[in-house]
Amino acid sequence: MSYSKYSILENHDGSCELSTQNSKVIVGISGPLEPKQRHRLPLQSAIEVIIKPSSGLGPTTREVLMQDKLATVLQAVIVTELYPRKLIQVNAQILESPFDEFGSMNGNTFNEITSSMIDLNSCFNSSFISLCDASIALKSSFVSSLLAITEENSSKLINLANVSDLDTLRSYNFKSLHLVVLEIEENKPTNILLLDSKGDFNDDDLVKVLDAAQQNTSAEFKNIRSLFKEKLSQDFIWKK
Amino acid sequence: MTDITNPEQQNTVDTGIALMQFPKQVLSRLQPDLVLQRHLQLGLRPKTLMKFEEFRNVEENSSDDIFVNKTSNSDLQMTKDEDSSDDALILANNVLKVGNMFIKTELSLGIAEFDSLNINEDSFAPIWPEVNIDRGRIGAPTDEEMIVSRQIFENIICGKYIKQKDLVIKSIGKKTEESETVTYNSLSEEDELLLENENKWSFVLYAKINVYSREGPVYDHVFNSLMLCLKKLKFPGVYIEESSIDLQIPSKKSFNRKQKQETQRTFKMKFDFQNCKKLILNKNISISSNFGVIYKDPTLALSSSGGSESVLEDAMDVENESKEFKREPILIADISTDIEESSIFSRLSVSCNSSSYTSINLMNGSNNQKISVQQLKDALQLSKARFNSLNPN
Repeated sequence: MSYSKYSILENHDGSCELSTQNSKVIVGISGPLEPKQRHRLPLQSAIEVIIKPSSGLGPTTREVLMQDKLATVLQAVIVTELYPRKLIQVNAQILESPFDEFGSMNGNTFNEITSSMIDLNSCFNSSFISLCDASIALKSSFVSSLLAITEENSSKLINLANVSDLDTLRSYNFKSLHLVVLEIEENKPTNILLLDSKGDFNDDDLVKVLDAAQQNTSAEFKNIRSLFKEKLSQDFIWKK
Repeated sequence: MTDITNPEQQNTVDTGIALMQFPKQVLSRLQPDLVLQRHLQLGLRPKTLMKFEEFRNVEENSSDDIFVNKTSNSDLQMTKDEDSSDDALILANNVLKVGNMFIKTELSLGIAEFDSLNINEDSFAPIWPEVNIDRGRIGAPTDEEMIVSRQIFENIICGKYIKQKDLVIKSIGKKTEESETVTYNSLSEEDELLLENENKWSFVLYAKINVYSREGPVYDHVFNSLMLCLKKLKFPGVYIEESSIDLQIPSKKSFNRKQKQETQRTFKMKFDFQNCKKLILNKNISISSNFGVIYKDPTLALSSSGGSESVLEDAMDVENESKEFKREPILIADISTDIEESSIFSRLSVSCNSSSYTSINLMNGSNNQKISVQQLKDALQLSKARFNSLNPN
């Protein structure tokens, strides 16, 4: 289960710091803003996503790809028609990643991909809470899950956000990795907003992954709902 | 917009606004979604007039030669006094013609010190790609180029095509000054220099990919081109030229403490193109194909009752006239024109080989045009069929 704190950046319209068992990310949302001329779209709002890595200067190509994925999903979810000629800016800063330390990749190139998938997974969940915190109109809710199948035990799915032991995480020999962002309508996971599967897998694996993602999404969304319940009771005018 | 397109008012002159007609090339720029919808009603795709599930024709062209210097392609073997490090080296190449788009892939090679502490021998080697989409401009790479390069990089590692082990240089030859031939496995002589350099160096692969006259999303075709290139990849032998070995021995004890007292030995490593070894891939190559989903919108259809072709039915009229106001999803294979690209936001890219999938990238970019599970299934089947029809192995 992830743990999140909302409204922590005072100068942003919405923000959220989300920690999973092995990663931590902070997302700040500003919007609707007055954009630069090139971002001004006549009938809808522009969405700008910036992801900064946990170490070094960014965004590098690694983050540019992550930004593209996040922006595509946000484009589908945010009611862009509501804010014509405006800009919604999403800033994500990765604070902790399991592969931060030098040599923590264990010499395995696959870990480089795992690391960006873990970061992206946290960015998705964190940006959803931030968007709600910023009171940006959304068409639906979404929750992201990151699931993996290892070479050793191909029948078992691992939810990478729940692996707390970093050494175990670093030493996995992955067969395939799946990042699934599911849309939630009327409290139930419905459509696939984004599916990013890499590695070696077949149809059965895919069905298993989607089933597990649905379960995880339901559980995570329950968690987020209780967070919002608490937020609502504190935020609004009926607060005593 | 609504007034001028209403068929009743069109004939009256005193509306004040003349009906504007655009040539189809202009209209496809102004209103790509409208052009696409009208074609979809006819069961065709704009510009190419392909069917919905039809792929563009793909022609492959590659040569088995190794080019050492780009400027003199015929000169396969470098001359004696040429320094190999300055030359552009192309080990495998491939030109893919997809519709009117050309993709040129060149695989090049470098040598890096193999650090067994930081690189695991059991892991899989990356290819470092550089994708250039030529549009007559220069400058920093665009987002699209960066994204495609990174996707290629990630999917080559995840596809587990090349083992790091296979890239480590296991035997280094030696060319003595007397003989013109390179001798390998001269371990019996117990050459200290060769022994200490074994398993110390590793090949690094670079891919330079150029895309000309881009049409539609390029990732899948670039990936296919690289895959076909990889199939042909051969590694040259590596040798040390005896004449290049240089020993630097400090002649006297230095009083300067900064100066190192160790004997330094420098040498040049060169490629031996007479002794090429083919790369054995860890996995069969896969073929990637892309799909898009768009919903047929009956409100944008051409009027079937009206005689004039440019008559656009009002959304309200259609709802009154036809009782079946149904938005029907259409799966489109191989997004191939800018019209399709600018109107289809829900996309899917699948790469698969004969037995399994190696990557699926599904993005629902629009809330009212979602890819359903059924369309995902259809796309997966089509991508398998596409792999079989191209049959690259």
